[in-house]
Amino acid sequence: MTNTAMLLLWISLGLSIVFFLAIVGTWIYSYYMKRTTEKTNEALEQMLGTVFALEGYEQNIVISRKLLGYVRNSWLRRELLMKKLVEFADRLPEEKQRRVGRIVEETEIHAYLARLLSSSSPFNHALACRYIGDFRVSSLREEMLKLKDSRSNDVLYNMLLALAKLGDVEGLSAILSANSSHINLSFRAVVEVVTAFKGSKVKLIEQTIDHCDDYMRGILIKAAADEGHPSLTPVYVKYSSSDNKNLRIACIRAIAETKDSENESHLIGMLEDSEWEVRAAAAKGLEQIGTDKSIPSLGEAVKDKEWWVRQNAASSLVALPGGRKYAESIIKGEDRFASEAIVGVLEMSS
Amino acid sequence: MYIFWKFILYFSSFCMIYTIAINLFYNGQMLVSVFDLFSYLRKMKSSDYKRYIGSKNMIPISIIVPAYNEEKTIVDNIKSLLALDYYEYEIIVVNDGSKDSTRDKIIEEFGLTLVNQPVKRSVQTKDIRGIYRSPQYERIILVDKENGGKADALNAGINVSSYPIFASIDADSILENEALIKLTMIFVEHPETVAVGGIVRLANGSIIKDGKLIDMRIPKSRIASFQIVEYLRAFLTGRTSLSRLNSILIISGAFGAFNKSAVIEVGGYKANTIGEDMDIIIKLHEKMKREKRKYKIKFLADPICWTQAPESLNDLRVQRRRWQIGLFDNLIAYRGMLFRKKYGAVGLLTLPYYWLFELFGPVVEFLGYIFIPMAYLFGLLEFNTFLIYFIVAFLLGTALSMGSILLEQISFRKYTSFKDIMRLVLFALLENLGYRQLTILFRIEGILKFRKGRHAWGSIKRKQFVSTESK
Repeated sequence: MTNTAMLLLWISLGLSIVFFLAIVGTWIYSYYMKRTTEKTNEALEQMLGTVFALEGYEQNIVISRKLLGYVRNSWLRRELLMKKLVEFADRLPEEKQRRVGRIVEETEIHAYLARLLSSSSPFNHALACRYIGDFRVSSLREEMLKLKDSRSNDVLYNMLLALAKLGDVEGLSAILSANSSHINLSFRAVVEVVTAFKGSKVKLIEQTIDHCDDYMRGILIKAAADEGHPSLTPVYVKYSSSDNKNLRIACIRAIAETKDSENESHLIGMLEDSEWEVRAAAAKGLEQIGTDKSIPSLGEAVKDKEWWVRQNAASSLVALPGGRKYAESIIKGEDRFASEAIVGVLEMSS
Repeated sequence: MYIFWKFILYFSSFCMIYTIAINLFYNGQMLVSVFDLFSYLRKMKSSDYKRYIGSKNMIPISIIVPAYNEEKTIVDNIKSLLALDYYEYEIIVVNDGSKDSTRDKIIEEFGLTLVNQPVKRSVQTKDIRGIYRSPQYERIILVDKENGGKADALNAGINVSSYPIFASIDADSILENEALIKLTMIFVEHPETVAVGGIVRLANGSIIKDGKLIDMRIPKSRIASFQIVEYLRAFLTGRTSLSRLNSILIISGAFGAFNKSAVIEVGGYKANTIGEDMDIIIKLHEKMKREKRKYKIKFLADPICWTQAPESLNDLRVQRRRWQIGLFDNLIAYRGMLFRKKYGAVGLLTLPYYWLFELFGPVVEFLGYIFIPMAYLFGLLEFNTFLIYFIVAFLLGTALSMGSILLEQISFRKYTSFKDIMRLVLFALLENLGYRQLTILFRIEGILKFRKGRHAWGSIKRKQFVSTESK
């Protein structure tokens, strides 16, 4: 008992002392690092400012060599340089982005990213993919694509984003066309990837949509919808008759975003859909592309058995020219739920 | 008499082993937390959350703030929420029948007017008296309802909310600007997430201006300082380690985000209880595990919510009593999950841990303080053993607290001044010499008053946040 107690005593005393010393040591280290980081950032800011201000190739080479000498033997300096480059890349116009890529090559960041890609850590893979996208390092594309079966969400997301930033239709389309169950990312993450795509989104969608599953189709249509793309309307109409409820909803929203009243009758028809979510989306969509032709159908939809359909229909009805008068006639009617929905919308809009 | 002596001796030995076991368990948790925190920090290096700050593709979120007699802090709180870095969100303040001027202060400050907004009743709540909005502050929705408790107020907020994710935030809390985006990113990265909690840290003594924390300081109040160490330990080690096993049982009511449809599926928050934050999480675990659904409930140590700790002994007593009653209530309500294999780590590890260490821990420790000295006085224990036990218990407790301070230093470094860090170390040492024993008494009181107090919240005095540097 005494021996065990003494052992515990020494362990606990040792732990307390080690932790105390580590606290003091960490504080000193972080103080030192803070100072060093500030100094390094200043120096890098100056050098990069010069690189991007100069036009001449030879002058650039001189500064790049200086940069390489500065960061070659220090992981901290290299890491800070990468962060600074991302900052600069964000501020630069697209035509000057190539310079970032050149600095990445000349300062051996390129080689460093290749090492990260070939390491065994998913953290390193994700980080490398992220920088490949940020710096538009297309020469590492093949290496990066070897990770497409990674089970890490971070790796997959950063790889998709990198391909999007590189404007790589083939790479992105190949991954998105594969079974979507392999991509365990929320639809918002994939939409963000498509939004970040530096190329023709119409081309990306046309090349991908017939080869992927309904889940991915819905995502692609949502991503395209935000930017309108009227040329994709036939695609939206085609898939709005899908058996998949979510895909139908995505198509309705996309059709509404085209702001083209030509498609109004298509949405009116969808107010009769068997799924309430689809009816609710169609009711909402008519607020954007509806005309006086929609008013009677929306008047019926205000009496729907589902709360959201009634709300959306009431909101669209009141917003359409001539709809308010029609809505007021419903208030006087016998349907209490329809009346409540319209009263609520009228008060909120007044 | 012989049997009594034997009892004292064996019970003392049990208490000694128990105390050391509990401390070793906590230190083990700390080790797991170290791995988890380092993974998190490495992951954040490649995280794209900043990109989503201004992205319309980010999940829109409803922030629900239940408020009962919060006139002193509510306006600051709403201002801090208005300053958040997030593209699309709404702030739903639910005035739960406050007796003070909470409602009027909000209406006056933000120029709100009564509107007739329809409400879908997804979960049952007490009646809503009115909904107030303003064209100038489109994000703010004030729900004025009859008093029904915090859970009922949250349920009312869920009914009024328009977005698929909601966050619950206490009215006396302030969020860091990027806290919400960091918290909700997990729903983007892992769509199977049903709930996620952020860290709650104490703002007593710190300077807050226009809803933003501008200078972090250690408070003058000793009681609040002890709690800073306690919070670091509880969140950075306890919750981080349980989260790694997907078996966290509490997401603090002060700051958590939830998948709304999942919460509605389990019937919303349990009204008329004081442990609603624990209840909702266990209920989610229970349903997901029972239905064998893939899900995640996470705790993240980085998105920070600043709150105020009680500074008087009486307020501390009310708070700790309430926590213990809430814990007891939930453990009894979900006792059927205990040791059941189908509930995985929740049934086999976390619930037994809560029963053994969190619920009965204070009782055993308290009895230890009585029986071990008795054993020594009756000559049943050698002085050396008696002394070593106390020193080991003290040192293990101190090591755990210092380890948490170290974790904070390595990871987030919110306290930058050396003086503040040394003060924290001092409080980590002193904590085991009186403060810990006091909280044990409060927790035992909670167990004893369980029947009477399980539906009563009790009130804690709120202080306004310190808003200028001169103060």
